Amino acid sequence: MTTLSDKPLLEHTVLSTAAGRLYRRQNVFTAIATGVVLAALVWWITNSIFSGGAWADDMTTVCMLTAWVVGFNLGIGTFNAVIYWMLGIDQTHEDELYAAGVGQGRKRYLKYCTDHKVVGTQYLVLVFVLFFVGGTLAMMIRTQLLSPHSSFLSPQTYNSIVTIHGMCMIIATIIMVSGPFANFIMPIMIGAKDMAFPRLNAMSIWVVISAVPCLVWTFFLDGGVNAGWTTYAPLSVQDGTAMDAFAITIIVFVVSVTVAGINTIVTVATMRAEGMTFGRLPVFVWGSVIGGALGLYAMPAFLISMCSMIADRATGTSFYVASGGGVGWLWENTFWIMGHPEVYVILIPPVAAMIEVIATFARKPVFAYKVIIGAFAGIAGLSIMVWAHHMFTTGWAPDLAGPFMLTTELISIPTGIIFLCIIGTLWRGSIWTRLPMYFVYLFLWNFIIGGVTGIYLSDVPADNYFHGNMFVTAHFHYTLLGGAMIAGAAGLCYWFPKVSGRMLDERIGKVAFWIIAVAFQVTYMAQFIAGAKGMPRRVANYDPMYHVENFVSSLGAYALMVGWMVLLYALVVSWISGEHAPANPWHSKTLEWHVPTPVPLENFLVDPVVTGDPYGYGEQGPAAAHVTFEYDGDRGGHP
Amino acid sequence: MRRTIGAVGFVALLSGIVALVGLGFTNQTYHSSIGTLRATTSAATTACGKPMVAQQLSFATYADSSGTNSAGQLVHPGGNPNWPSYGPSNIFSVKAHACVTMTITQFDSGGALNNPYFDSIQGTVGDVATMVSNQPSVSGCPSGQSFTYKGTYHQISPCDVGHTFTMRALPGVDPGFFLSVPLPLAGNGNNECDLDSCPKVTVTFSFISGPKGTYAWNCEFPCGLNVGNFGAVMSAYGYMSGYLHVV
Amino acid sequence: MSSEHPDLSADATVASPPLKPDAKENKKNVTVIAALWLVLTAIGIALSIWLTSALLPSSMSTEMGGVRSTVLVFSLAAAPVVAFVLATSIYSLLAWRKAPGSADVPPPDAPPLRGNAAATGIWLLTSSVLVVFLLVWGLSEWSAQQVVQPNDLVVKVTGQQWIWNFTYPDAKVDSHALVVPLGRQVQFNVTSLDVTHGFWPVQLGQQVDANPGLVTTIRVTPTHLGHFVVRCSQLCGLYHAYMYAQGDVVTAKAFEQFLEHHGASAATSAKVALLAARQGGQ
Repeated sequence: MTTLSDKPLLEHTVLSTAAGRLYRRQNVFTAIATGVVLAALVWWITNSIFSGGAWADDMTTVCMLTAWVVGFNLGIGTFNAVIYWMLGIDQTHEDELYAAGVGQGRKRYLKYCTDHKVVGTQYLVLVFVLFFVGGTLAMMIRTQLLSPHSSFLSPQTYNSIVTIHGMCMIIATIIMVSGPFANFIMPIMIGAKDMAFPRLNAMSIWVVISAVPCLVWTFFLDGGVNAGWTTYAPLSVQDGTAMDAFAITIIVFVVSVTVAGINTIVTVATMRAEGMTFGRLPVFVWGSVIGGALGLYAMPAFLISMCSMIADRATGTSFYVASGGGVGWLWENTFWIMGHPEVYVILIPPVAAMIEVIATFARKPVFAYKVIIGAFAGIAGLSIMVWAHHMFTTGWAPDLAGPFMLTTELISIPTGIIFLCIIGTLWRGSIWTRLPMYFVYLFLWNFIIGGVTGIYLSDVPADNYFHGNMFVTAHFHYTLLGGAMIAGAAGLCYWFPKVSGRMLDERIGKVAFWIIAVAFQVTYMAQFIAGAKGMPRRVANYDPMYHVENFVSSLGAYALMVGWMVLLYALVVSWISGEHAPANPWHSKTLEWHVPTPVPLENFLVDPVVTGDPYGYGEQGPAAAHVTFEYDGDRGGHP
Repeated sequence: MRRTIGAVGFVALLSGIVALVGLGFTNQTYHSSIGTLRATTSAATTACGKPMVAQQLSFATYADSSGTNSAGQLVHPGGNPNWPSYGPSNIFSVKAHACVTMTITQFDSGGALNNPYFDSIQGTVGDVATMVSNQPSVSGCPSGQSFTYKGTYHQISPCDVGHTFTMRALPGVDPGFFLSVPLPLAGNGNNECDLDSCPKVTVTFSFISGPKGTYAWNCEFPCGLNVGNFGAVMSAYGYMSGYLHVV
Repeated sequence: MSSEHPDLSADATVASPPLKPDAKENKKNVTVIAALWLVLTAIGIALSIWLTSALLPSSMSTEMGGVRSTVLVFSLAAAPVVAFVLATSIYSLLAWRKAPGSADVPPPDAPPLRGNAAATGIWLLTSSVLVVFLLVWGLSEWSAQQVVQPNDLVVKVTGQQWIWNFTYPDAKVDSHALVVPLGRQVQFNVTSLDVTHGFWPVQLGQQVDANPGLVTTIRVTPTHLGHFVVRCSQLCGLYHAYMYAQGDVVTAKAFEQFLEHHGASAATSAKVALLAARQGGQ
């Protein structure tokens, strides 16, 4: 696993102290225990203080869940370094090695581990757990909609499932590439030994893990959150205490995304290898940085809106309640100021990952490298000025319809550039159709449909018909599931050998691919048709005139779920018993393929020196061999 | 081959988990202690002034959903003592194209509607209902003004309402169907009494049921909490909401 | 230890000498893609025309007519763009797919095209022109909808959990169904008593949210007699799925009868409906 000694290095360390012994026992189980104990304690205290008050339930829920999150992170070790620092204890190099998981084998995956590759792997598992939860809830929705007047779920249960399906998938897609790959792969791509802030990196994953139980727990509180993932006020102010748990989930998640985003940006700014100039950064690195930066812009709006939501609910303020002078439009604005950039926080990293895939499997340099970086930046810049297109039909600021139509339609120019760059890279390439490349072609098909259906929604007169209707549902599933998730799947299959050390079983993977590809079209084409015919979104029962479309869509959704399960099986079985992967199975040129597999601690046995960009396929000179490895005296390694 | 079997087994296992979650969610739906409340058919061959099947259905609204009614039935299994509820069931079943006579016994107190639109009766035979009470009168609103329970009514004061029984068909069943009956408040102040001896008002009305299908009913009196007093009990399925199956 | 680093010189030799695109080959590529593009564009245009007329509800108002024509025009504009992406990606699979040397060895490197200023420029220009077209079309449709006609009929729309009701202030009439006269512009003043709802008379092609404490306005001019549905388009809680109302576009005479039936005096009904008749030319 590593060339460093695996012997416990406990002398002259914090770890040899009494506190250190506690430190060594910390793992996910102690975290859960600490979280539960602290939550129970705070519940008892707040309940006795606020009991009988007008907002007792909300106040108790907020305090208790905050205590759970703090307790969980205390128990896993998020605050260890801070506590040592406050006590005036310096951590030694050996402490750092322990924190990075040296000598702990597989147990380090259950611990607060600062190794970026462990964090990346933890993210990958979390993403699959969230997708499974979200997918299961999608199956509930589609089962309810199999027949027009089904009573499989009560309307209340249906609404709460719609809500948590949405938020679960949004969280999962935000972290699906920026979590696993911007952590595991991106530092190696730029020649770094780890992320700039390894402890914050570990914090970002454990904080989001502590948020997930709050989200799932909403089902057990007052019948769930009934307001949809957009939780429009004042409907969400009207909801029961489940909405408090939902708000805490979001606040905690925003902390995680913020920490992760800062870490990504600082890593790329400061940790690049010698010769890794900005002009030589792989596209995926740019995508991670731009996605992370956009998240830093977008997420605070979500934090603020959720804090004021809690204030309205638990303390009787009236930011959003009309009877107290508030207005729901405030919520809708702050929500979409987060919500639209967030779509591109989701989309940009996987698309950037996919461009790495295309260069490798077309055996060509990325077409118009600078133009595509500019396109990503342009999308990010424009995306912060388009939010009110979600509000065309709310009645808010009708005179701004024109400006927001303009910015929204302008964004199709940089988005079009992405298509140009993909087509340009494929142009006259030597197309090597391995599994990742299958997903690239599926992306092209899905995303062009998702993009074109978006132009109807960007146009006020047409949006007046389509808003709030199944057409919108189909549109954003085409872009987020058919676009971002499929691009993420391309990245996953591409980097799987490096992450797991095994080759992916492509035979099973291709079976999964074809099921996903076909079932996806069936599921969402049927929803486009239902929407065009006028079926509203988020309804538990519907007019029988939409029965055929919904029946077909439900069957497609079942098949789609099976497709993803088969892909998951291919991943699991390959990870356990696949054939060992060589360091560079794709003969790719980016740096992560030029370190050994499995990747050792601190990645590089010798420091790389970069002499060209990583896309010199078919070229001569430095571009063809763009990296050399320099003797690193400090590490005692031999080149 | 081994991996094919493995894949099938893996998918079956995960699908099983999904199915179990599904079962968990269906069990969350409210089931009353007595199941569906079916209308009884009387011998009369003429009803609602026409030759048609006559059906009767009786149920009540209670101030305390965790309580038991005089027949010993749970008002709402697992109910909340601070929440009112229709009971002993929220799922009703009647025959199609029949004259359905509903008798609703109202035990709960009340107040003012959000929307005076619901103070008048719509969709019953003659747009009227009949009320009888074991109380001669109640001090309603405007405050201090006495409100007498008297026979047949089409409209009551919008601030003398206990609950409403408001019903429409599910989309695509019977688009024109709309029934709304305001039930006058019973007794004064906070009424936590669910038994026959308690202050109560019994409202009787008839309507002609539509074609086969499911109809959804709910209460339009704001008896919940939070925004518009439509949170809590009003938004929790099964207390102030339910279905009528026309078979 | 050096064995842990793949031998980079091996990759380097693959690429020597540098590959150059073959001009003749390029001409063939362009020709086939152009042919494929034309065929796919034709299919796209046919699909646009067919799907727009088959799926969208028939027009009952000038606004719904605008929705139908906007969807059709945007689909026609998008057809060549979609066709181009599909034509090139399909062709890349058919013509440029290379068999790898062996299972684990990639095909030889392709000619390194690092960019093409002309292609990028044309692409940018085309997409900018399309965007300007979409914007101009959308704004002209939108501004046409903002015109207020004299003597419009005002209907107050109230949404609440989970019922719509409609008030005709001129005739002092309340109704659970929405009845509007043919040919006369109707102004809907929409509000809510509790949470946000979405007032969406589906076949009239307009919608606006009903916000508590606020009044929002939309206008439609019905052009065809018939039945339509009013839906709630904004998730509003428990019975959102059942929050709908029935709507009818009727003649001025029938509108007068409707008002009378709902309790307006004959004189008021006639007055309110007369305005409708004058404007609708009935």
